[in-house]
Amino acid sequence: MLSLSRYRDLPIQRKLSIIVVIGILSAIVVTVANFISFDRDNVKRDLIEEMRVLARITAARSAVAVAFGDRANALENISALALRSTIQYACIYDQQHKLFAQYRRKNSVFSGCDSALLTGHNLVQHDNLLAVVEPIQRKGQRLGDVLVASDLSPIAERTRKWISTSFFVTLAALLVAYLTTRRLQRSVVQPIVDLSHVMDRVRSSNDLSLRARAKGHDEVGALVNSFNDMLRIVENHNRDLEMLYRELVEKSAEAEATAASLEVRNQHIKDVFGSAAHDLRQPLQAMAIFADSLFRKVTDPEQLSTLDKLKKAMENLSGLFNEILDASRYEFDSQAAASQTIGVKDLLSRMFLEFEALAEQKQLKLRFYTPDYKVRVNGALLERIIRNLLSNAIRYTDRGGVLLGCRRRGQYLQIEVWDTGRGIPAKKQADIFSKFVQVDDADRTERGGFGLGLAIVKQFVDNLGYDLSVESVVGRGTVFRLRVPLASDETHASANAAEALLHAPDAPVSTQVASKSGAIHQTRLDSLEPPNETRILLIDDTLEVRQALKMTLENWGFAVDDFVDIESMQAFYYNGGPAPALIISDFQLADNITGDQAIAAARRQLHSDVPAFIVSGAETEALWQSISATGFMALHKPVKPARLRAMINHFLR
Amino acid sequence: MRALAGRIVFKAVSIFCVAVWAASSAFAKEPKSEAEKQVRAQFVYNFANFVEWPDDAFEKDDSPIKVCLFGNVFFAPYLYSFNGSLIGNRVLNVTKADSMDQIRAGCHILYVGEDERVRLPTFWGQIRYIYVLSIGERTGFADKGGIVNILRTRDRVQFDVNIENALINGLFLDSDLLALARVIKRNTQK
Repeated sequence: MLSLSRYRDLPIQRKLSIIVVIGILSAIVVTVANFISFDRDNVKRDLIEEMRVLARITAARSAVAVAFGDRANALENISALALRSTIQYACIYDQQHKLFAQYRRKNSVFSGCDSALLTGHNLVQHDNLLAVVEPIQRKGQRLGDVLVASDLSPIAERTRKWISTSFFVTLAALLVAYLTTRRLQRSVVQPIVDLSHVMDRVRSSNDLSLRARAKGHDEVGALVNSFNDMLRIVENHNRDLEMLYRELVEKSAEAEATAASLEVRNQHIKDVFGSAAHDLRQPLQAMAIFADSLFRKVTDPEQLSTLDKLKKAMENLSGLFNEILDASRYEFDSQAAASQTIGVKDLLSRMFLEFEALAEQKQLKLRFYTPDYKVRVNGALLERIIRNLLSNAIRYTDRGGVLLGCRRRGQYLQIEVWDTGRGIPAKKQADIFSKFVQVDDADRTERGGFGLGLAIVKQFVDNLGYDLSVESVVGRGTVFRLRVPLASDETHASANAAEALLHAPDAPVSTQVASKSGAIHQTRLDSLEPPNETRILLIDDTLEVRQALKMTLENWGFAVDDFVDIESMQAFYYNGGPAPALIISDFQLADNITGDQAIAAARRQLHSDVPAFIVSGAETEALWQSISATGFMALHKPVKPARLRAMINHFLR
Repeated sequence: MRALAGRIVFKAVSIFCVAVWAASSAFAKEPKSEAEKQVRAQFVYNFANFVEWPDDAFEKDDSPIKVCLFGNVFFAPYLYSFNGSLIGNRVLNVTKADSMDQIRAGCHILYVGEDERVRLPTFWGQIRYIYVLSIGERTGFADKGGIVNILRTRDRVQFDVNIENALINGLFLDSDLLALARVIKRNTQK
């Protein structure tokens, strides 16, 4: 097995030599064996014939001696056989087969004649001895027998001679075969070796233009031609590939250039979109405020009904507007947002105010349970997500209530929004995160919205690496579970953070759940006493918004001092204007002045930390982050009157 | 005295030796052993085997070889046992021939008994014709016209051959037979 594997590794020329040698050897061995066997037969036959002749002569000469019983003469005759060296012994038997005379060679290893002729055959062969028996006859009368025995040494000697001769003949034949086949072998092997060299060169130099040279039309020649053809094909393909590659590179460069220009254009569109959104919010805000103040003045029931429809349509419009803006905006840059450590309680309590009013409108109970956890999140986006979940919950819940609760799950905080809505069928649960999908198509007209809310939420959640799951029982309600990472210090010191079990949404939403935290205020619009002569300082550089807001506030019974900038405000109070109980400021004022600066200036002027909040039509996340960085609460423009009212109540309580 | 005594002893020994010789020869002559008779019969038979007669000696190809016993042949009973045996394609025919007439009727082998030796000198003149192998057992038989003389030496039976007489009789003696003969004689003295 080993020698076979070694044979496989030999060069082809050596293999051919071995084949030739083995071929010649086997041919010679077979021939010689055959010949020797044939020759042994011949020699043996000759030997037998010779013995027989000698025996006959001896028999003829010994007839008289046997007849006359002359042993001396018989012995003389038989001893003449000593001249033949291979004859070991000879015997003459008389008519009664008794030994008459015998000759035995000196030092012969054979025992000599038997005392009586035992065999009836005229040829006996055993071991290394050959014996012939010839009768002694005279005129048809058998007088006795002569036995002549010879060893087979002539045969052995002859075989030895032939074997040694064959050995030298074989050597000579091998030598001749080697010399004559050398050149022939080379003609077989050389093309393969050349081919192999060319292959090596192609591999090492990667030069596909190299070709092997075919030296004949045999199989090797065909192999060389095939190899060349293959090389040609590979070369062509390679060339094609290179061309393709170049084209690709060009296309890629073009694409990059296109992408760059698209990016510029995209940015441009975003800028335009942002500023357009900002500009669009302002008149919407104004429309809302005007409509609200009109609502207070009109008494005619028919007009009131029309006005109510107008208001609803506007609110719808505002909601749709926000939704579309959110969808488009966060597709652009949601990933750019950075994480920061935020207190959940602050974030949620701000939202509670907004949604409490909404819930109130639908006769729903809204409860928040928010222990003061710190989470490592993108605040604005988290707010956006929760806002969407809450507004969805309220939108699709007609009876019962909505509960928001937080509980710790290892290194995560799980924020859960429960509702007692109609639930989502199991087969639709996977689809609700797709854009423009609503559980019931009729919802679009009845409840507003394009079905973009949850798609946006899902997009945020995926981008930020949070986890959102939904569980729902049709007819009973739905819970959305949002999992966000806790801030690292929070994950250590949390043992004493109270973890209250949330009640199922269809259970009575008890007050003790929500009232545990002092930061959460349960506020109801109808529980507010109308404020009397409470002054509000309003700063906004946009005339329409300022006037609309002022009108609304005045309709609610507040006294409003409105200013376009800090200077006019400072001048007013410098001249002894009455101090306000609340400051409401736009964020982006003229001359790059921000709302917090205006509020700070007013507080300095008034020497008092008057409560304040910001109203902004800001469209970018960065801007909202900078607003929340000021520490002031803020409302989005266009501000819904209910939210504005709730916020004012929150501060003036 | 001593010389006298020595002469007496010599004489005595000589007389004793002669006596022993005489006794032994007388002893040997008279009682022939059965084995010797057998051997002699065998000899005669063998001569028929190893002597070639020309074709003219026979009437036909399968004519018998006649063996004639002349005189008193002491081993005749043994020889008769060969009667009828085949030699080549001829039968051996052993007969007694007491008269010259019987001999003249045709004999291929003629054995002359001891008792007929006195007639020999005249005998050859009477039977001188060709193709007869004459065998005798008397000293000088081969010298005086006979061809084969069977005789007994000290330890065995041998024979002498007179080849010239054989040739005269037109007989051919096998060379091996001659090689076995004790003496091969020629009639040089004639």
